[in-house]
Amino acid sequence: MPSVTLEEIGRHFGDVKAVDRVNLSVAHGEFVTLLGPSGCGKTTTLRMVAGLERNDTGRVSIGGRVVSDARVGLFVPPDLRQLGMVFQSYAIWPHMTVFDNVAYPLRVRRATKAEIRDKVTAALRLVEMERFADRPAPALSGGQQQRVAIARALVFEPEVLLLDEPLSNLDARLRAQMGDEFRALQRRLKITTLYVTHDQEEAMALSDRIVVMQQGRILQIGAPETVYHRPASRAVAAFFGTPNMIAAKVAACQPTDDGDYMLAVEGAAWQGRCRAAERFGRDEAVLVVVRPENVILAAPDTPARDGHIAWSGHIVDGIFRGPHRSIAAEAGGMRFHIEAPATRPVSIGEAVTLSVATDNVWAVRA
Amino acid sequence: MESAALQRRSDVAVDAGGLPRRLAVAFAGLFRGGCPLGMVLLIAALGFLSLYPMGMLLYGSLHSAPPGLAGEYNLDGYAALATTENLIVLANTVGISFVKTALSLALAILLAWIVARTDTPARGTLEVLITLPFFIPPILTATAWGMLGNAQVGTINLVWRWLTGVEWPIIDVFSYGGVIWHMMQYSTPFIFLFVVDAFRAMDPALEESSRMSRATRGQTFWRITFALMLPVTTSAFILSFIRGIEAFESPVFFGTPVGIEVLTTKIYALINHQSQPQYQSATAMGFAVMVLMFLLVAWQWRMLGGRSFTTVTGKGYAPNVTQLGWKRWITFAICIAFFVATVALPVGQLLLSSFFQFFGFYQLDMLTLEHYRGVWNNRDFWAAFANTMLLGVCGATATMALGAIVAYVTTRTRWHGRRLIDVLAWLPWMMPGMVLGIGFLWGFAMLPGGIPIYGTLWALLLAYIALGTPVAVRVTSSAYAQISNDIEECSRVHGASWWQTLWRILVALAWPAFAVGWVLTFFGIMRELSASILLYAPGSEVLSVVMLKMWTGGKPEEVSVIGLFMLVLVLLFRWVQLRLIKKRISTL
Repeated sequence: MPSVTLEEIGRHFGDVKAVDRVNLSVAHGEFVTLLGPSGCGKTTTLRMVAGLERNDTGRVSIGGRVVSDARVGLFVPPDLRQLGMVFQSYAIWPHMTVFDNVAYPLRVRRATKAEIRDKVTAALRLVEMERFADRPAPALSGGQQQRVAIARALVFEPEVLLLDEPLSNLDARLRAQMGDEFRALQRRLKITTLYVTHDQEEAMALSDRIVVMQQGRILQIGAPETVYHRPASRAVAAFFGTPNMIAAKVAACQPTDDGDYMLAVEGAAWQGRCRAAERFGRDEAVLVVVRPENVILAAPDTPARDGHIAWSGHIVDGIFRGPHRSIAAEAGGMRFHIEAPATRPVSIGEAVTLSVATDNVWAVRA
Repeated sequence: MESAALQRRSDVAVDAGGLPRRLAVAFAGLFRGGCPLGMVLLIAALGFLSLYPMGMLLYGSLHSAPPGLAGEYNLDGYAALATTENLIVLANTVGISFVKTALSLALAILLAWIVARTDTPARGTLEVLITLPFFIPPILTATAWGMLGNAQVGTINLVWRWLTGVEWPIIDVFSYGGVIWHMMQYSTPFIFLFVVDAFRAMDPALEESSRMSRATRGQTFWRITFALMLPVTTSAFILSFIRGIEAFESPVFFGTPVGIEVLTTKIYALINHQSQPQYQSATAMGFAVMVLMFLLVAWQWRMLGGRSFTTVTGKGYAPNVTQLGWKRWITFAICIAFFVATVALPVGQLLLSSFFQFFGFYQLDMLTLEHYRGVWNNRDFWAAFANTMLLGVCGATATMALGAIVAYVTTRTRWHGRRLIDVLAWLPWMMPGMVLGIGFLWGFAMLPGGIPIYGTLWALLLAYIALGTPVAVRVTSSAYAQISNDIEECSRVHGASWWQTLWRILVALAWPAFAVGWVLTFFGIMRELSASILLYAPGSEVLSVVMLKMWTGGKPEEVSVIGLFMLVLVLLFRWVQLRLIKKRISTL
């Protein structure tokens, strides 16, 4: 039985459809991330699951129980939904100690003193904060507040854990560390998690599945590798990194053994083959997606190897970034972003051949 | 509707504890999820406190007979306004208020700069001393200055004559200057409170970057510091100007005896000092004042975009402090001089005159405790004291409760009528106590006979609640604004019901603000004179009314005793309030 099911849920503010007919099913123990730019409806979706926002259409079920059904006017308030939630601001109550903050969900449930002590201590140990139990909440750093917020959300063993951009207020190093720790914790506890972020790297590193949203709609649902390498549309492709999108026309289309399609495409002054998820007709316009890290730089006039697409051009800019080097090149009237090893020397104006293997080229509808 | 009912039912099912809890839940349900009954009650209560007296003001201004009597409808009241005398009254009102505001602003900026931006010694103490006059009831300093600055027997003039041997007096408070000076003692701390925060809340980098651009200290002050504070200063100026027009104590003490009348004293005179009270003219003038206030407030909103109470707030910066060297003793002296003139001298005068047989005749053989005994045995005083305390405690509690509910509805719900509630609660802000007093005078007289409010303590209580609500709403809503929505929602998600959240989170976090607001409202009630003087009846006098009556009845020495008594109360409450604020800052 899925832990969270959203059926056709929507939320309107006046004429604006903040969330428009979203369908999603989160399996027990799964980590699903809602990813999208600000204003895409991901937070509103999460808040509708929490019961902080009322869905205008559709139905929300948690653990097989319908908690909200707009059609029959059913709405279970947030306090009766048995959820844990971590807010973007952490929402640590400033008038309580760390212990009191974590104990709060148990106290409002009228747990016994002994039970409260045991569970709070266990929850604090889980996030390695047991030493800080007696600290007043305002005397915590950002990372510590976040740990307390997670402990508080886990302390009563909720059905589902909701997280609203929990890492966005931390600095880059701490963000990566907390993300990894949280992922490990989630795997260990096998708790169903719905996570909201606008950070694509965070989403890929943490999730079992990613839900890419834009303007209140779901663009694609899939494993991180899928949404990254096999985007369903131009919008999804553009959301991850800065891919090169090259306009082309389909010359031929054949199904492959693994269910994809192999396309022969023609560009302005180039041609080659690439993969796609759907069948295209002859002469249909497509966009060929080439990730910067997949572009191979070779000496000028290197002949294209089999299965490679190649362009001749020259380098216009190179930026050293530490782990790698960002290179801009012009070829065939287009500007390419390339990520090359940092050790590759660059001289502006240098003539090069750019090539990319067929398996690394993906076509989406233009 | 159906869903709201479902939602409520599920809450009740969970909270099916004792009866109090169920009542609480029912009460909570009144104010939630667009359930209309609570809102209707709230709107009705607020309407009765603001729209009703305003409407009655208009009605009374068109009605030829006193409240409660049959009469005809005509425009005589307004026709009577158009006289040269009233034009002078208007000019007096606006002129006095403008001059006192301008002078106070200059002084307040100087004092705020000294306290916030210089290395003057003991700045923390100086700040408390400078703001202290604001909390002393004006009637108290008015009586004191009446004895200090009397041209013949005023203490300052006595000392002056004794020192110099000349015959003419150095000051006479019964003059335009006296009215303005007395008002300044209140408007300077008022503006100071605004400006000092603005000085403090300023990012020092803004000034430092000006200095790095080769601007001198002076240029930086005018072009950056002062310019940045302009919105705050403007807002403080307008607010202070409005309060100057509403002021009653200063002109009635120092203006009326020498024929200087302003709008508030004129209204008072029309009702009280005529052989036959001119209710219609007084009410018409009250309505005209309300229109004037409305225009002023509209002007203020245009200038400030509606942020009528906001000061510059935000991060606490460590502001730039100017090293003054030996000159810091001059700035220290300026602050002390202000304190001496506004607090020490008046209080000293009250002490002095309370121990002598007659004020102005300070000889050892005139020393007496007779006035203390007189006040102690004065039944009217004790009755008034009991009334003031009762009204203060009940009024402040009721006002804060109303303010907290209004602020909750306007800041924390998405109910469609919340703007209406906000405006209704704020309307009394533009009614001087005197004008609201007349409105209620008519309003209570027009009530059906079964509701005998007029002449009882209820009349005063309702007027005090109306006058206090705007401030109570601002205080509580700014406290709510500091509590992010997340903090409440987080509590809901983690299993707390609406009521538990309200109690354990919102009230638990906002109670210091409630307490501070309560004390402020209590002060407001204790000092209130202009509405009280119209609405009291024998048996429902309050301290300020008794003081004014004794003063005009020629008993300044006993007034001094009562004044000192009030002062002790004020200092006590102010101390508690400061303790509360300090505690709050250290825990948050």
